[in-house]
Amino acid sequence: MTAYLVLAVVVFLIFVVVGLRLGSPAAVSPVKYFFVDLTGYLQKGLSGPSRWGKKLWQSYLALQDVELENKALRQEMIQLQKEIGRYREALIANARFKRLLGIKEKVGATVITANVVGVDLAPWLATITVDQGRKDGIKPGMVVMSGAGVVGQTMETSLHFSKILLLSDYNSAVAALIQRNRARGIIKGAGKGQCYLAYVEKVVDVEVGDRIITSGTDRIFPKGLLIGKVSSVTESSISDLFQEITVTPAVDLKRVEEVVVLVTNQPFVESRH
Amino acid sequence: MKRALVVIFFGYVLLLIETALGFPFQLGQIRLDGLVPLVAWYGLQHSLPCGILAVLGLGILSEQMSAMPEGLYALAYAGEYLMIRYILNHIVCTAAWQQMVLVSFLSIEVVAVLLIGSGAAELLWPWGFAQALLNGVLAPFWFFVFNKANSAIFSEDLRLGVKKHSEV
Repeated sequence: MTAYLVLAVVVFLIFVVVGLRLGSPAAVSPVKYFFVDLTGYLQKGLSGPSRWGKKLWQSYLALQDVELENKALRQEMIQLQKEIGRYREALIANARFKRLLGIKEKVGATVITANVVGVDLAPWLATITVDQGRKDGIKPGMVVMSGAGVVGQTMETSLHFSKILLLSDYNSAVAALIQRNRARGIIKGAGKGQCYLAYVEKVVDVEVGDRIITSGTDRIFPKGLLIGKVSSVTESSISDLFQEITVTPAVDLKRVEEVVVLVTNQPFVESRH
Repeated sequence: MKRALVVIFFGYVLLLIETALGFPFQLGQIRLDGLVPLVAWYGLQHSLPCGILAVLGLGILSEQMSAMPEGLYALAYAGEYLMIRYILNHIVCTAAWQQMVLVSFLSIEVVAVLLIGSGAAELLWPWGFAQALLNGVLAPFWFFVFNKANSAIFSEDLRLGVKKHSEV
């Protein structure tokens, strides 16, 4: 009996629902909309915090990603900066080596490239130590150059290293001439990376900017190598026979990093002390 | 003997640093010089004859790293050492300012010998005196470094019961 009753209720409900769906919607619309609205608000009320939580979680995940990405980018940036530094250094070195290679072609002699590894203990003495020595064929009295011009001459050599007397040393002397008017003189070291051209008579016309080259008469330096440019000319006192000419070497002797040694068999003409 | 070798080792390390780093440590005709304070520090503690041998060793080592006339560094440092031994009984050198004054005074002797001996006497003023002043100003720092290094090296000897050096 109860089973029949339940079945009857179910069938009735089915008919009611189907009847309502097929009939005029106006009758159920307010209820339906009320229900939909109510549900909507509840959904909204529930979905708000969930959306917020979801957003928070996503932000957290995103932040983590950003942090990781940042780290990766920072590392990449450091790597790239290092690489740029290396490339820049290689570019500069390349330019220097090209100049050194140019010397070899220009002079036509065998050359040995060497790196500067040390400077003199006494600041007023201009000597440097390079990492090539007797083993590599270097002997005292050989010409040392850098890209721009003459650096000096080898003074002492050990098996693997050599000491070089720079142009700016007080004990350095190189036979030179002014390229423009061929007036002869001696380039002597003045310390502080500078030189002066000695024994140029007052009648000789010397101008600031004149190029000074080796004359070749000292039998150490081949003729025509650039030494530097005249930076100042002073007449000096009346009693003096010669002008006071300051010469700035073509090579920055305080910053020279690589040099080339011209391998020749010429003897060391004058001893240092 | 061991102490003499240690001071030569200190000197060698200083020489290496000063010559390898080179120009950045030089200003005009002066430089950061640890050798003069080292000889002064050594001279305060070690008597003749062993002391002078180490100082001559330092001088010879210095000559290898310079184009100075032979024997000049040895002469300059030996002079400094003998001066400090001569005045030792009349000085107290514990405070920093006393170390400054002493090293400045000794530096003038060393710089004068080196400059005059190498034919650059005209640099004595102002560069020579500036160098002496710089050496003096930095002397407390160098003395501190040498004391620390010395105690680090010889602490093992002390632990093992080796008699502490007391020639002074």
